[in-house]
Amino acid sequence: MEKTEREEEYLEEIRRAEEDGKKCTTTFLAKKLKISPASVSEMLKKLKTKGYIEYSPYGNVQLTDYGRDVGKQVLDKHRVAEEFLLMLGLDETEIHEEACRIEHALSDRVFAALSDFLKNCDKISPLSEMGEGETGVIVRIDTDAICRGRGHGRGYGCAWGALKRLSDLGFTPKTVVVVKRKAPLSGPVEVEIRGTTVCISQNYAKGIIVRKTEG
Amino acid sequence: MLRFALAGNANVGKSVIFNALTGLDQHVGNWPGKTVELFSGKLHFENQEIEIVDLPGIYSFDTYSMEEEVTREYIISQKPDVVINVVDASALERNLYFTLQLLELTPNVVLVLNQMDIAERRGMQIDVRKLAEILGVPVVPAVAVRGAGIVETIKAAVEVTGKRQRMHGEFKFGHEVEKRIRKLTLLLQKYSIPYPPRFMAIRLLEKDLQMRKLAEKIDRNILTAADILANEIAEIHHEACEAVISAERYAVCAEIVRRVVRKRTVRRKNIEFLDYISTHRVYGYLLLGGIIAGIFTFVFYTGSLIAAGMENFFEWLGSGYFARFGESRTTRIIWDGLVAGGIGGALGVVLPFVLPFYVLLAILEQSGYLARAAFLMDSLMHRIGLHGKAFIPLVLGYGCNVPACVGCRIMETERERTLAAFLSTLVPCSARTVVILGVTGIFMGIHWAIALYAFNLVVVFGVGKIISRLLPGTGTGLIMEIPGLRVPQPLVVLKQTWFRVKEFLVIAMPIIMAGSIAIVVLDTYGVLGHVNAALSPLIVSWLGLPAVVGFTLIFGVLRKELTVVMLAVFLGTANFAAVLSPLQMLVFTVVVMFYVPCVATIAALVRELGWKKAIAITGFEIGFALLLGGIIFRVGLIAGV
Ligand SMILES: Nc1nc2c(ncn2[C@@H]2O[C@H](COP(=O)(O)OP(=O)(O)O)[C@@H](O)[C@H]2O)c(=O)[nH]1
Repeated sequence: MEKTEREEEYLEEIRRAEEDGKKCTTTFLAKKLKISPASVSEMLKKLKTKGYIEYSPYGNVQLTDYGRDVGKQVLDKHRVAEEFLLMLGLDETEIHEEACRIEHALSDRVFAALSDFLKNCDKISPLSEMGEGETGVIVRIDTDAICRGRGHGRGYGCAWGALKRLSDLGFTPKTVVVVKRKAPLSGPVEVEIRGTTVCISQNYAKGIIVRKTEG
Repeated sequence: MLRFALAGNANVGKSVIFNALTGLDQHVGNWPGKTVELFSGKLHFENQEIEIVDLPGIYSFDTYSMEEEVTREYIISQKPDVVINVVDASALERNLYFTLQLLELTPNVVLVLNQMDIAERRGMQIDVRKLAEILGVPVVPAVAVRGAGIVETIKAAVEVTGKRQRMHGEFKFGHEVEKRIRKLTLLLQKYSIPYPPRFMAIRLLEKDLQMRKLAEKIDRNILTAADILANEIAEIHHEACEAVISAERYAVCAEIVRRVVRKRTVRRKNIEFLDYISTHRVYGYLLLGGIIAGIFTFVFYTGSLIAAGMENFFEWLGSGYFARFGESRTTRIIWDGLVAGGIGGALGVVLPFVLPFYVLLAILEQSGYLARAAFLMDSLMHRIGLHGKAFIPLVLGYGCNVPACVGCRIMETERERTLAAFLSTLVPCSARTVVILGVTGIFMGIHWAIALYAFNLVVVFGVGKIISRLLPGTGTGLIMEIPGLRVPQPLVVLKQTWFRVKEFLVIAMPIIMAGSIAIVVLDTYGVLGHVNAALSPLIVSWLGLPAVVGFTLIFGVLRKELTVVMLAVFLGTANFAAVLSPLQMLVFTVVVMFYVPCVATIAALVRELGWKKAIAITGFEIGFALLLGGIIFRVGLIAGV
């Protein structure tokens, strides 16, 4: 059944109240959504006919199981969007409004990918910051970090082909790496990659971005 | 005559296979224009004469060192009849990367799956037939160290020359990339180019500089088209085109490995423990220190024994010579200049000190330990503008500076080669060690000698730090494979040693002989006296040493240890403590340690870096040694040493 953004907004708010254990009445919703109680009543009627909620006039609004699922999903999307915006460096005061707009546009697929990403986010770091014995998957190669401050000998690539050499030795996205050893004093990192052991200077390890995995 | 080339990653067993194929019928040739030696040898097989060339290790046609450059040049331009691609079966995925590049170029390839024993020990089972089917070339499983698979390899290679091989077109990149490779290939087919069009197309998309130059010469439009296509690929993948192609080539490798390799996990206890210790942040350094101390102790203990033996031998030879030919100016010049001074002198350093040192070093290298040492030393080397690999030529320098300079070829850039070669000429070689031990060590105590070694290290680091600031450009970092730890092969160790000692014999020996004769002649006719007189203000007033030291320093240019020998001759005694003050001995030793690279080292510098840099380095070291000597003299006077 088609549902509009407005409807989603209502269900989200009702679910939030339910989570917080608050009484959800017409007046409460009107205040939260900054809408006149009359329009709220009208919308509640519509939601009831669609089977999202149950309510008696002047009583509490209650979600049906179906309505709860929908409300919960919208709320989750809202939270993921907020978290993501926060990560992007937006201010806490502005993220709520923005998330309200994004939540309706997120397809389930994108939502799943985004929450997965956020879940793993604290696990993403440069290879140079992984500990000995840790395993990871290369996410991307940060060209700038590798070339920074180092000689640009060749017209192409940088650092005398260091970038190309790294990919020739197998440092490409999605490759599994195991940190075997890190030499002290920001020395090189010894990693196992594609069945071989390679050691690379710290400055190159900084440009190889990996996601830590277990085991 | 057929010409086969052995190529593959480093440490896969090419040398072992090469030795097995050619036996002792080998010779080393210089690659024109480059100073990297190529080993080649001959072999007879089924009435055919076959030349085999052992190429330096290569990981990719996008080369990263001079040695790789030579291999690439050889394969691409010299077009050997068959490339015998040796791969490490236990690291197939990474090894196949170069194989695929090779197959883009030529179908005349035989794949040798070497180190099958190690692959088995690691629980891998490889379906050789299937691999051959996928790659479209013969695949020979081998355990080179046991001689298994050698004959089959040569047989397969000869068979390849008999057939017309078809270019293999099976390895497809991802759709977006493949489409653009096809486009460029089609364009290239319109021109006459010396390579397979698809190979050149891929090379151009990987932004191969030489291929770009070639394309530009043929038609600028090719280059423009290649750039546009490369940009398109880069935009689709949000990554540089060359990185995309690497990634996709690896995807093919991984897929091949998935199809032909079955793996059980097995744990290897002993090797893993050694591996664990060797790069440990505490034990690793302890082990390194212990190994270095052990080497030096061993070398100087055995060295002095051999040296004494050689001295007796030449004395005996000399008395026989003069008894037979009589004493005259000519016989003196021939004996002192050529035989005892030139040949005897040169061998007198090489046999006792350099040779044992390099045997031990080659053992370490073959066992895979040196790469671990480079790993441990990397951050220290970074402080002087180098990286871990430079540790290897610097250590070589303790044996003899000549192979050390030559060894700097492993460094990736001109800047680093220059810096590493320069610093390795400051390292006290075994000849200088004779001076340090023979003057300071004996007459002032071993702690003074050790202090001088430490002081030398400080100087090397100080100079390195300053020079690395002054040289244009910035350093590169370390990217190096760490080979598995292995038991070294005696034959390969000997060859490696011979290779390095030969550097000394080829570069140093003739120069030492010529120089030795020249100086003896000049001395005989009294010319040296004038030079000595001219030097004396510097020696006497500035350094506070007896005037005769001027002589010894001139002789020392030939071979540093001559300074002590000559000093004893001119002072009329080998008991230096009787004629020199401790301060004078100290100044003398320091000056000898730094004052000029010996002629042989200068020759090596010229060969490796060119005239200008060689002269600059020599000039710097003369000035530096004199300055340092003068300062030590004055500080010593004040401090009352
Ligand atoms: N276990 C084992 N070791 C091997 C085999 N082939 C070579 N090696 C060892 O691998 C190391 C490297 O060999 P080398 O010929 O120097 O490699 P190159 O760099 O390719 O010339 C040496 O220590 C050899 O003894 C093999 O088939 N099995």
